[in-house]
Amino acid sequence: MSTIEFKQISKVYADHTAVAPFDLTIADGEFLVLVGPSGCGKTTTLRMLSGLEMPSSGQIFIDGKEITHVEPKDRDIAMVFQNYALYPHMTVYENMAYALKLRKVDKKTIQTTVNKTAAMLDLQKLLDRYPRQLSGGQQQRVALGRAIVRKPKVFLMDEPLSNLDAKLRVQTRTELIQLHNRLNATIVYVTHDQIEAMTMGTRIVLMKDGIIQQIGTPMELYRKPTNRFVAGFIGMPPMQFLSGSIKKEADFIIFQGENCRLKLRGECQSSGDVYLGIRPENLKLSSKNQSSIIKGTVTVIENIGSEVIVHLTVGHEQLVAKIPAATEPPLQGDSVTVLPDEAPIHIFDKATEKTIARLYIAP
Amino acid sequence: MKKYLHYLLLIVLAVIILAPFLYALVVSFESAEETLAFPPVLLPAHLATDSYSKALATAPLLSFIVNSFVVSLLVTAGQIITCSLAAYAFAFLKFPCKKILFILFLSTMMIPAESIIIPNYFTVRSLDWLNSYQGLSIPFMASAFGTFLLRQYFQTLPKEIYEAARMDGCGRLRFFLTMVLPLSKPALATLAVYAFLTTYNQYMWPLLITSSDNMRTVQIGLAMLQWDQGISWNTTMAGIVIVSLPTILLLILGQKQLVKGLTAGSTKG
Repeated sequence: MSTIEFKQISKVYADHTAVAPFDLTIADGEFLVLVGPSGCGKTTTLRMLSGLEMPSSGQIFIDGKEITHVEPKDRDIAMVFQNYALYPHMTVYENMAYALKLRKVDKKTIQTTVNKTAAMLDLQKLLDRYPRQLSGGQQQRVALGRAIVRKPKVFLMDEPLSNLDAKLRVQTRTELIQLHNRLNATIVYVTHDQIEAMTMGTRIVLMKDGIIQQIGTPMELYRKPTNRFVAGFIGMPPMQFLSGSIKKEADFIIFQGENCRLKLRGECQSSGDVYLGIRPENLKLSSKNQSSIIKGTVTVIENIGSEVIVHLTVGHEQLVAKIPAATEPPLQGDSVTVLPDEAPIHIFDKATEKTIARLYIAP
Repeated sequence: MKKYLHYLLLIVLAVIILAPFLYALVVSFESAEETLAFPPVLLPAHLATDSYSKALATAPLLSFIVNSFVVSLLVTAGQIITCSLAAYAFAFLKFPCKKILFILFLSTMMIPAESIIIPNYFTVRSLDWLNSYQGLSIPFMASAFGTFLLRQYFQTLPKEIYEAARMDGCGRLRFFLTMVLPLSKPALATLAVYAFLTTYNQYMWPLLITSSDNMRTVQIGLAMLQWDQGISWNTTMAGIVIVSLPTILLLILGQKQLVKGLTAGSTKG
């Protein structure tokens, strides 16, 4: 049982705020992903939890016990580093056994634990090798093994997959999910890759410029982004935006932008300048609807087999549509009309960029 | 073709660098007449070895070699210990005024050794260390250069290793002993060879603080050969060959580590 609690934790350097004060509770067994662009404060947050960095204010609790100023080694947490940080002059076995040795665990227990962990990670044949004799993927597994043997209360992972090639990254991603299920451990994971966040996290904390933008399950962030930044960060390709204005017309709301007019239904109190957000997967090539239209010119076609990604210019803005490969794709330079499907369309205030409404296309 | 030119150039340079020593070796096997002949004799008619026995008889060279070895080993060990500890602090610990202290440390390298030799002499004399191993070795047991060299090397060790070790429960001293030192073997070897050779070649300081033959070191022994025998070149050269042999042997043994240590870190900022 390991819960983590941040209370008004912040980190301020001489000239800038790396992490603005925030509260966060992480439940036992959760796989929490801290995600955001570089410099957003996610790694600093992780390092404050590890004890390698001291917070400027606030408190951190693990299982209700305050550990804000406790030495890293006494926090009972293990960390997997981006570059693995294996000890170069020790064999795989020694690397994994090191922490246990320092804890004065008896030799026999160390041996059983290391061997068991090595078997779990398929490392048995590599135990006598040195880190420099291993491939990137193997080194990564050793780094994981070194954390697992300690049976820590919390695992911290700082972009552990970013040094792997694309194929191995996808494979290791699933392995990590399985590992989490098996160990049932609390994991705090830092990444800048939204796909890792979406696939692995039971909950995501999305950060930007040291400020938490949204906390929620992957689907909450995908379906109900609280602002334009979250909307544009999650999704592959991410949500697309058109600027324009909305006004009420009878029971409907009309969005008017450059080369674009949409008749929408739903609840919306405000009117005026807004951003309209649509996910590429919710756009289809069509001209059937009389009351709504988005007119664009095709600039790039990316056929990835299962689907086709169509890049369009709508007035002065860019739009991306993801259409099934079965549909006959348009050609570069074609003028096309696209329309949103029944999925929600997100409306963001132009000034604050906060979500103000979720509307639907009117028939 | 380019490769041959390359080698040719290297051979020429090697000959130029080795020539004085090779000439000394040749002269040491010549007779007294041959050394004075003009043009110089480059190959002696027969190998005369009496210059060696004469050199050993004139100055107690073997006991001087022992003295030099003892002093050099003491200084080397001392420098390895003090420099690695100081470098560890400068590379890994956070403390106030670290930068200024380090610059202050480095600036001591700019002070010419000659300018402090007299005050050092008085210090050593007041401690009653004249004519002793401690007088010969302790003043050299710390070195700004050595600290600088090791600090630069320590800084190339990934910071994450330090952090990983800290999280694994490794304290500062244990990290120093079980991580930093084993990972810095090339740099430590470089410092060891450098410290040893510098001490072995010392002349001024041993000359100043030793007056009895049983505490003198090799470089003084060589000078004694010149004073006592006027210009008996073959004897002097024999002496030079004798005292050079141990250091040449050491260089051959430590060469690989030395080159590694001097070039390591050069590719990393």
